[in-house]
Amino acid sequence: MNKLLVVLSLCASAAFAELQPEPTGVIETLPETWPAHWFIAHDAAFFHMSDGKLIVLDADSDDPWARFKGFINASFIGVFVQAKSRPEIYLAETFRSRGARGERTDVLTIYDKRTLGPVGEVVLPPKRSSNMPTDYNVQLIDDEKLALIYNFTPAQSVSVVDVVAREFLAEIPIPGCALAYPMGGRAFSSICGDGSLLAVTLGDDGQQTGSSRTEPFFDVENDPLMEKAVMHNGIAYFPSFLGFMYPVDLNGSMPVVGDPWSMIGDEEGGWRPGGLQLAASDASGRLYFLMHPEGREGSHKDPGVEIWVFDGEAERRVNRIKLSLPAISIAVTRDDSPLLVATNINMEIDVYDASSGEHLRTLGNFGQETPLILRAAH
Amino acid sequence: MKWLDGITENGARELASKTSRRGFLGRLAGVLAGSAATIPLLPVARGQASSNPPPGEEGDPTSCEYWRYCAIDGFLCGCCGGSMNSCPPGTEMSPITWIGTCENPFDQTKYIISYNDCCGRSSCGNCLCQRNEGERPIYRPQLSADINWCLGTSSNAYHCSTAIVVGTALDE
Amino acid sequence: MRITVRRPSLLAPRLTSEVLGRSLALALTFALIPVATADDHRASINYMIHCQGCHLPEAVGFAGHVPRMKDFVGYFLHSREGREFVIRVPGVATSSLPDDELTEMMNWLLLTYSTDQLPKPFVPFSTEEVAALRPDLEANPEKTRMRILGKIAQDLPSLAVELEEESGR
Repeated sequence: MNKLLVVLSLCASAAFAELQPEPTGVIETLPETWPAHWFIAHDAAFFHMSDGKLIVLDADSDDPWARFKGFINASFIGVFVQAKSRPEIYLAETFRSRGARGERTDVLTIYDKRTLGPVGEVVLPPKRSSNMPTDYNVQLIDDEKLALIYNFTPAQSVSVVDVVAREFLAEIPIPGCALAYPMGGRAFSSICGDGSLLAVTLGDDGQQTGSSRTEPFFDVENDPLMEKAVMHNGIAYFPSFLGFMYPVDLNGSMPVVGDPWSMIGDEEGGWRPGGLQLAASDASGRLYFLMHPEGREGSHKDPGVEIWVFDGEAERRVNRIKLSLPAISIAVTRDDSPLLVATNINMEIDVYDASSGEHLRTLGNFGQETPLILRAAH
Repeated sequence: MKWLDGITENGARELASKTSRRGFLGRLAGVLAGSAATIPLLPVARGQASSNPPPGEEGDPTSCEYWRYCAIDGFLCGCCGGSMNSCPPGTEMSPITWIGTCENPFDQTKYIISYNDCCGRSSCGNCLCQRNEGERPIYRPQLSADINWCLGTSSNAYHCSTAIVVGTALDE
Repeated sequence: MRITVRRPSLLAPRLTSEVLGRSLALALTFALIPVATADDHRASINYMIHCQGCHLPEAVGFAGHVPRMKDFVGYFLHSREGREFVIRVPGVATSSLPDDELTEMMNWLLLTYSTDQLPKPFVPFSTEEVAALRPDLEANPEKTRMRILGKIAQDLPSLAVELEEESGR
């Protein structure tokens, strides 16, 4: 044994006699298809909005270095959507020529997911809605050929961009309605202040070819829908303030509104959905919602203390996860053994097993960053 | 504040009608006529803002629980060089805003509160408050605090939020 | 109060009962112009809570962003489609106010801030009228507004002047 050790130590000292020079100018790149447990945390930088960032993270990693994969700047509460059919991210941003002042320019910046470099931009009408980010401020339709960006001046409209040709096509007025929920084909839906949904169809030039509205189907006064629906297989699941789920099939060119069902059932304690990005879904169609007890008027953005998991077709709860810390935003990874990531009230990200609810780790050390929005990698 | 008295006596509304800030001036004239509170209107030397509640109110204006803030979402301008009803120097008050209704514990009266934002500087960063009573999603923009209401200012950079009493609500 | 008012005729009177009938109609028309009441106060509060955030105090609007109603909105009532437009615009149609309070507020708004632009006599909106119009949300307010006003301006020089000024800005 001693002889072996002597031999080994001699070899070791020979191999590490001195450090070899390293090349400079090395830039990391990422795979074309990001691993399923990667996700994007959007730091909307509420305290320094021009310096927002999309942070690419590995939810599996316990190594504080390895978990960070890269950053993208996102100016002034940028809003973004990932493509599935190509390795691109579309990010709508606002710039001013002198920082917080000066001439305003809005752009849709196109990022390559391999290099995290900007590969193109399309200048937009300087009207994009500046609001707490949602999944429906920017969306893709028409086999991911067209991007839609919601505008608010306070006149409401949607900008249409061809992201393949990289050109601005049209601005579609959507008076009295907000946001853009993708529909089948070349259409989108917006949610309206009278409790209805607007549906707009577009031509291949991005111009409006038709529009229609559903009857008002929810009570805007007493139990409004949250605009933060979760979509799965073309069905948008809207939670209401009081905890009813409204499924709306957006696969066709006209929304089909299903009957609402209770998320709460017989559960006592005044449970209600609430949070910022409070809903997510997984590949099997399970729906995850942040929930808080003792709900009251004004509690709809309160952090959730539990996540309730629902089967949208069976219309019932199938799982219940107690969070280690209350959370405001969640996302679920795209694979069949999904992880659930949650931004907690300390602005760190908790990682859970989405099936067992086991808390696996906490991703922290974000410095000034406020990772308000989470998106699982496509 | 003799020059302000002069404006109200000579018909603030007529003066207001000739400026682009007419609504704002008109509203303040009404408030000035009815109270002794000093409210900075045009640029004046600071020293009037205070973290004490004004006459006719009670509570702690530096706390998010203060009655006026029942639907506020943002940084309190009082912590940023302004006050509950004035903007810090160099910022612009957005005339377009969201409106809430809050009850003053001092007189148990519900008042209409206009949460005009001060714009043109980046986030103040102090005294962030978010309360959502009566707040509604962004498809009801007039009741939504999720919207950056720095609209109609030369820059939509958001700095802080005021909480201005603009009227008395009805008893329901 | 729900009273359907017929426009009184200005033709020469024929029979006494007709004269009386027309006078009554006239009297009713003018009696319907609201004076300061508790309803006016409620209307002004509803304006503050539901409209003032964008249209600003005294309905002055904000050039380039939000239409001005003060000294302007009354013009729309000079045509049927203009009258309907005022209820069908999204801010009105999708308001959270119930039909009766919305009607009350719209009439108050027209009389308080745009009385000089109104057609004479002014036929106030009725709750039934507002309820029937609200579901028909206007799909393109900016375009429709210009078209409607352009037509009315052909008979109203004061409006024609306003529109010229507006396009000059």
